[in-house]
Amino acid sequence: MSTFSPVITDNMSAPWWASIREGRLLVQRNPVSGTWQWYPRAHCLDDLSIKPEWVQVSGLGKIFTYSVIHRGHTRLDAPYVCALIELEEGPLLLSQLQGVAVDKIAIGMDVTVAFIEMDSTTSLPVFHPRSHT
Amino acid sequence: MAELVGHGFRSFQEYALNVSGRAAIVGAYESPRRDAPNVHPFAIQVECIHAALSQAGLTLGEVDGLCIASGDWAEGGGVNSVTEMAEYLGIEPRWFESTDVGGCSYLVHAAHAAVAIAAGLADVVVISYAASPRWWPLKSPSFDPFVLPAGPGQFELPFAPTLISAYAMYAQRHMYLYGTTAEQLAQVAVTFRQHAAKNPDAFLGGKSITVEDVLNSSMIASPLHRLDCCVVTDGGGAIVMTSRERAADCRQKPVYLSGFGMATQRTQISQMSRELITPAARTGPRAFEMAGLTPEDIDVVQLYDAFTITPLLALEDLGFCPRGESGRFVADGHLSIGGSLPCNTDGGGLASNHPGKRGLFALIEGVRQLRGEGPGVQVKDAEVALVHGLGGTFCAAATAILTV
Repeated sequence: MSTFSPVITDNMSAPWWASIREGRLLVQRNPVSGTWQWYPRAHCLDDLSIKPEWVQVSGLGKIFTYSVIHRGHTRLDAPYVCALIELEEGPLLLSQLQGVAVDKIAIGMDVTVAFIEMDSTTSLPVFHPRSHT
Repeated sequence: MAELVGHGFRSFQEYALNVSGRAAIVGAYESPRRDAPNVHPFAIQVECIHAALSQAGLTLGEVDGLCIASGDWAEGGGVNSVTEMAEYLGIEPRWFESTDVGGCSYLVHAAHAAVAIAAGLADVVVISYAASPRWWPLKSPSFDPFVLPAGPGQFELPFAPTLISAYAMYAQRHMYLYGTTAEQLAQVAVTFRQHAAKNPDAFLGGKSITVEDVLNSSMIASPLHRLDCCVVTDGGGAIVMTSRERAADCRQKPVYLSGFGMATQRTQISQMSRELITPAARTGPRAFEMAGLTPEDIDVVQLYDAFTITPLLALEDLGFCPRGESGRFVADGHLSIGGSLPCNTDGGGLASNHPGKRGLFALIEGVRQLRGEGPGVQVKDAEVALVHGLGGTFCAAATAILTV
């Protein structure tokens, strides 16, 4: 990996980035209806009057779709894999798939979250294949 | 729609029909330029505007409406404010429009121009675009040209998705759900390349390809190969629109905007429809309803083809084939000039030209087909054309139905 994109965080997203640094993946939920939402917002998609709550999720999911990126407008060393992960709780989340040979990736594959350091202050949630023991 | 009913319209359909066919395209010119070293896009735009006005027998002094897509990022210098372009042209339009929803912006402009013309807000409207990505020295401001690493983008850009990878993720899921094959995707590029062979302006018209050539080209973002991707050319174009009444006095055969629809859907990849439905599923029915037509009535289609997956999803969402069947539909030859639905008759973005926002060229080719002036393959006696554009990575879409 070479340089990741810098991010501009804000007061709404600060708890999420702080939790990632601690190795916990948070997703928002409407505390009244129980509806999950990704990406994080300052409001609930199903009710503008309700503030979403942060909930720690299992970090388990399946590959919904993916692409092995060989060339493109990117600072990262290719190839690398971007994937949409369908979390066990329901939402789709864009991330990277790591720790798997590109010819072994398949839609529907079970994955689990892992946390990598982006720089000295920021971490990112990526996904690895789940080993079944 | 109670407010419309109060103004004498009994339904939305009646109101929409009031706009249908009220405006006509009387000038449609595409620059033959594909490689324009050191030519600023403004100069290309003025060349095209001059040529399109000349087709119509109109002058710059008669232009009182101007449409310029004015996004906040530059691809080949192709972005400019409507005020700056008006200044460069030397006009002061009384009606203007600067919506930028990516490549389909010009179809949105045509729709809005038709409404403005019907309402008497403008008489002669110019829609124009040019870009020169082959020599333009300035880079776009972020990795992903559509999203900043702030706000919603802070949760995606750190993972470094590329523009092509977003399309690729739709394609990968389509293959998984429906058994669509890399060969079927490749057939899209092969078909449009065959059409480009007849178009002297097409960037790759002189180079025929096979399905194997596409599959053997380098992988860019799996499952999309280099030849699944559009060309990168310089270029530009312009459209001139006026009222149905004024069009009767113009030099060119009028082409009427009979129906249109537009929609936005998402920006972040994570908001992708799980069923791979794109905004075309909304724009198509809106355009057909306004025009009073169905997919069976269409003689020729222009479908935005930034990548081979792009027209496949449009075919399904617009109702030209059942969901999941688009790969087989293309492989069966329907999109060829001899098929049931000739598509991208100029060679499209995969073979003719693509400076960054190709929707204007798709609209121009739709017009040329109805005039019998297609520079590539010409559908004989075409009377109804559908033009579909998308913006971003299936983020927005617009559909136009043209008639003569």
